Amino acid sequence: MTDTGLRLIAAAIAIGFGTIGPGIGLGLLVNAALGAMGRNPEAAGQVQINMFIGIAFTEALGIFALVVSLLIGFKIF
Amino acid sequence: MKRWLPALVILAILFVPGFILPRFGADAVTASVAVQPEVLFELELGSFTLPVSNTLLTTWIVTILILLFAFFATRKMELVPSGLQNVMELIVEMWDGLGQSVAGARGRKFLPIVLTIFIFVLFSNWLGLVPGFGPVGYIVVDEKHPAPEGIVTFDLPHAWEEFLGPKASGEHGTSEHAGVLAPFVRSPSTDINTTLALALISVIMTQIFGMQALGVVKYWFARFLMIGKFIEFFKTLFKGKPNFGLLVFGFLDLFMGILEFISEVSKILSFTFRLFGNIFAGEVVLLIMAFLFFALPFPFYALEIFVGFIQAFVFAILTLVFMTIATTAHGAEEHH
Repeated sequence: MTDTGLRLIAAAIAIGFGTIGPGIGLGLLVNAALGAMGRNPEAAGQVQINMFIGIAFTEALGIFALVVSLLIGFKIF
Repeated sequence: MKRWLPALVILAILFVPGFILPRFGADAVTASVAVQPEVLFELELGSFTLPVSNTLLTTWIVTILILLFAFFATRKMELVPSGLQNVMELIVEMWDGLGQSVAGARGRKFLPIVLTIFIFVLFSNWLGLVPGFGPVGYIVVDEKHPAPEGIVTFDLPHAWEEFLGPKASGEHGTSEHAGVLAPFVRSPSTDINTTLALALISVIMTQIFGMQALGVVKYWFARFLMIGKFIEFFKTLFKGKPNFGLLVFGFLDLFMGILEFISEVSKILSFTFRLFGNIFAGEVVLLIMAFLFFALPFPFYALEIFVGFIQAFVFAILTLVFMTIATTAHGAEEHH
């Protein structure tokens, strides 16, 4: 296997496995937030904003995987 | 008929470059996907040269567009808004309401910077999606190195040969004029420098607002250098009755302060790469889909328009929320 092939596989693995966790986390988070909004529509605004904060922190993990994948894929390291 | 004219024009703009490009120009044009923006020309400013990349040029275009938008939206203001004024009022009212519900009375203070970020990011995300902007550019011909290292390239004529037949890629059919297509206009959000600058502005302004609201000394000691518990411990030590529980909590607070500091740094990182990653990945997807089949980008165009709006919204609302958290005194929630 050539170096380039190995590098591309590494980049694919980094982003592929790296997004599993954040994906599950985002699902749980939005599930809970939508449930809360359905039960208590008056608090929807506040729930939505806190949901966005949670999404930001959860998504950051996926973004770190993306950064690592880009670093490997574009031969920056 | 009149209704369909804009749609027809957009379709023409979308299709014409795609059909013309493989027939003229260099034989083996490779449209590139590069993290680094292509430098178009260099400006001489005295002893200092400013390389103007296509993303910087687009940033200027975006700035001019926003200025024009603001000018025409507020030129003839009426009580019952119409046209551009209506759009402007929609945006401002939406953010005014959000600011009130997130930050309360302080919301109006954060609004100028939050709204600026929102409008700038929205315009720059959407400008990169305007049909025809991607394929219009000049071809960087490099005889020795057809494709720079670290750049993923797509052989454009080869992809089109399957759709248009073998003659579409030009008469010569050889790759002696191999080159890379450098577009004139590229969304600023696909340049890591722009997103890093926005992230730095957002985080530094958050710190400034926090120091303004709580006082410089109090802000630092309440968030990053939490040594209040240590001081209380030494007070009890000098009285002769040392309270070691306070010492434990003091170390805990110190550790929390370090964590808080790290989270500030990671905020910059996640702001930068959230916007960059989403928009850059979107452009790559559009490019790949365009080379697979000519009608395939349409659903992804719709998705990218949505993603562009969502990313602008998320960037702005996170700035607003972080500013609110920074200006809230530590432990204020416990008192009421």
